Amino acid sequence: MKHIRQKGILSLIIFIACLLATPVHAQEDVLQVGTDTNYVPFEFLDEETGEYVGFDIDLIDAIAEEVGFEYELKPMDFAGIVPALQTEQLDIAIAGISMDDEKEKTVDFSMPYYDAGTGVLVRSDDDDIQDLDDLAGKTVATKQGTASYEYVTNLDGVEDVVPFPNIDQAYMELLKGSADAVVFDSPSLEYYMNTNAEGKVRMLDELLEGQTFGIAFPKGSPLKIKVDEALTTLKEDGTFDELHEKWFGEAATEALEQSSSGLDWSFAIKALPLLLQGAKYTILITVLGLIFGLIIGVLFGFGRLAENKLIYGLSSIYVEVVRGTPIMIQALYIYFAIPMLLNFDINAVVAGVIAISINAGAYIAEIVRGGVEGVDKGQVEAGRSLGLTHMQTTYKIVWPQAFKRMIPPLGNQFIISLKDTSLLTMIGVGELTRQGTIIVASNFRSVEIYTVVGLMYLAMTLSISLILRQIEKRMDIK
Amino acid sequence: MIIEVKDVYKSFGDNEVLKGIQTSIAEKEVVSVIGPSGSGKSTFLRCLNALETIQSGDIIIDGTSLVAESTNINKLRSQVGMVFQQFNLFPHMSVLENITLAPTMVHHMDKNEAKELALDLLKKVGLADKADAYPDNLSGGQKQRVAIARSLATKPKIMLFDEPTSALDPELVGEVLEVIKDLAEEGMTMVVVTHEMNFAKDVSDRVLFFDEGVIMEEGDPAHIFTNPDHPRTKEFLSKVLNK
Repeated sequence: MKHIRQKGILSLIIFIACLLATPVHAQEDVLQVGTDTNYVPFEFLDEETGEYVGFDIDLIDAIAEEVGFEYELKPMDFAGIVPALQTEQLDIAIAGISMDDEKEKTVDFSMPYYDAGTGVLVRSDDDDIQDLDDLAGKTVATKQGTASYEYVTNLDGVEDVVPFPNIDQAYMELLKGSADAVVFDSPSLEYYMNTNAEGKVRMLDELLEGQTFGIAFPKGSPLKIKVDEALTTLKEDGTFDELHEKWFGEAATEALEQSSSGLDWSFAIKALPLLLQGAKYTILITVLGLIFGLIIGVLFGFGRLAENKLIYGLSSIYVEVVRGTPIMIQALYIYFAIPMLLNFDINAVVAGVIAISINAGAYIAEIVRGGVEGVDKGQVEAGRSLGLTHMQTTYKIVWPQAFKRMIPPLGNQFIISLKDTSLLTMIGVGELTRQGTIIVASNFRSVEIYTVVGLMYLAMTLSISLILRQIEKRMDIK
Repeated sequence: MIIEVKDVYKSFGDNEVLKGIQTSIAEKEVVSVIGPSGSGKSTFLRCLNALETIQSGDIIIDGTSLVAESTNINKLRSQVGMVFQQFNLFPHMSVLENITLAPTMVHHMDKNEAKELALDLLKKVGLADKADAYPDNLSGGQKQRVAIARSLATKPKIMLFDEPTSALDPELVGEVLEVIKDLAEEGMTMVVVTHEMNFAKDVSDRVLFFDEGVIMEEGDPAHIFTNPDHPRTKEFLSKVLNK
């Protein structure tokens, strides 16, 4: 009997483990294709359709048709692409990835499909910088983790290099005068100059070193040969040139309307559906994270109150470690480091919920401990001297009073956890902040979009405050 | 003897608070415990219902040892009522709920029966109209009277009072002492730690004078208050009576 029960529990554990570890590519024949979230004109979000468009997107679609595979597009932060290939969460990545020796140690590349120069963008009204030598003593902005960043840090005489997660932030830095130049792939610079910069920037004629882009695969992937064959075919039959003309030709930039100057709230209205979709994830992750966080918090809060040294010790370690490390590191650890060590895949939203649960749990544990310890000792003594048991005293006398004391700090924690979900952008969860940055990356309307994003957070946090105030009021009547 | 205290020692860490306490209290006896602060009188009282555990010696309540492992301490406590200096009413419960909690939970009394009992007790302490009030809306004197009613609800054989009027405004002391006096007249066995010397003199059958962890002197109030044997008792009384 006991044996059978143990087997039952074991298979239950295995079942849960399988659920958690369900690979992203659940369907064997659908390939996971990683791409950057914002790298105009190679890939960027069309905020009207909510779909990704760009040269890379069209190219991989043509390749897929040529080779004959189905795929699912996975837009993610550029910095996460190579790790995701290494862990085989992705089968292919096309994201304007420059081919260099360093990357070739960890991933395989197709034949090059694009030659990009590295260009220098400066403000139109800044006559100081006319050629590369003039960069000496200047502050240069670029995108982190790129070949441009590598290059410019090795350039002699540059005063300061400021790397940003997204290139649009570097453009803003240039426009507001905090940086003197942006050094980046020339197609991206040209696209920005021609579509959104309103004549405020110019590009130096001189290009820095050239670089080539390739499609990347996990080491030893059999796909490489097939994709190379398809690329050759597409180049021969003229499809490749058509796409190139579509995204980089004269017609491409002329077709794109120059955006107007000043604030234009129509961009915010257009972005609303995508932002609301992000807000939905923010709410989902916050609610689930707080439910689990409360369970964890209550358990460990009592652990912190326990007389048992081992339980107290373990609870304290948990609380101190989680409180003592940034939630961003915790999220990266849960999403990248642990799956890599233990060799399983985890969905980014699931990882986000776990990160919020564990983080909120530690703070809630302290709130629970404080709430219980804050109840006057005389209350317990009065209960016990009436003959109530320890359990009865805890349940009838301590808990109701502790709970009331816990409501205000819990409300604080709920609001903090809600805002903490914005940090999950790092692991590619499509929550509100991430949707906002992606939209800004393609339309460069940071003021309008971030205002709406901020107001949405405010609406959510105010709702939490209102609900808690109601609960408090109701408890006060008693 | 309903309470027997045999050579009790109690310390908090290195601080020895009770150093060999030996006394016994008869049924229906009213005993006042006086002495300077820090003399161990409150600790002694708290030992009588095992709120403090003693290091050595024994305390026997109505034939049951507090120290014996077989003793059901919860059951025993419901026979020993305790009234605290700070009242310790449960602020999240109404007056009625405060009083019915123990009868329903410890003695599994029927709810209606417990309510009737509570209303009777409230009448007895003069607060029949406050059944539905919450402790925060009561004066200190009213709180302490509710606390007494709450203790009486378990129908204890002994009542312990730990400086029951020390936290009260002077004009509220009388109403509480009045209730305690009534209890004494009804024949309740009581141990009262108090600073109210008049109360100790008028109401109690016997006075224990505590000093530095021992019972320095004990006897009937007339003797202790008029002609104490021990110089420490004399010193203490002259201080508190000439205030």
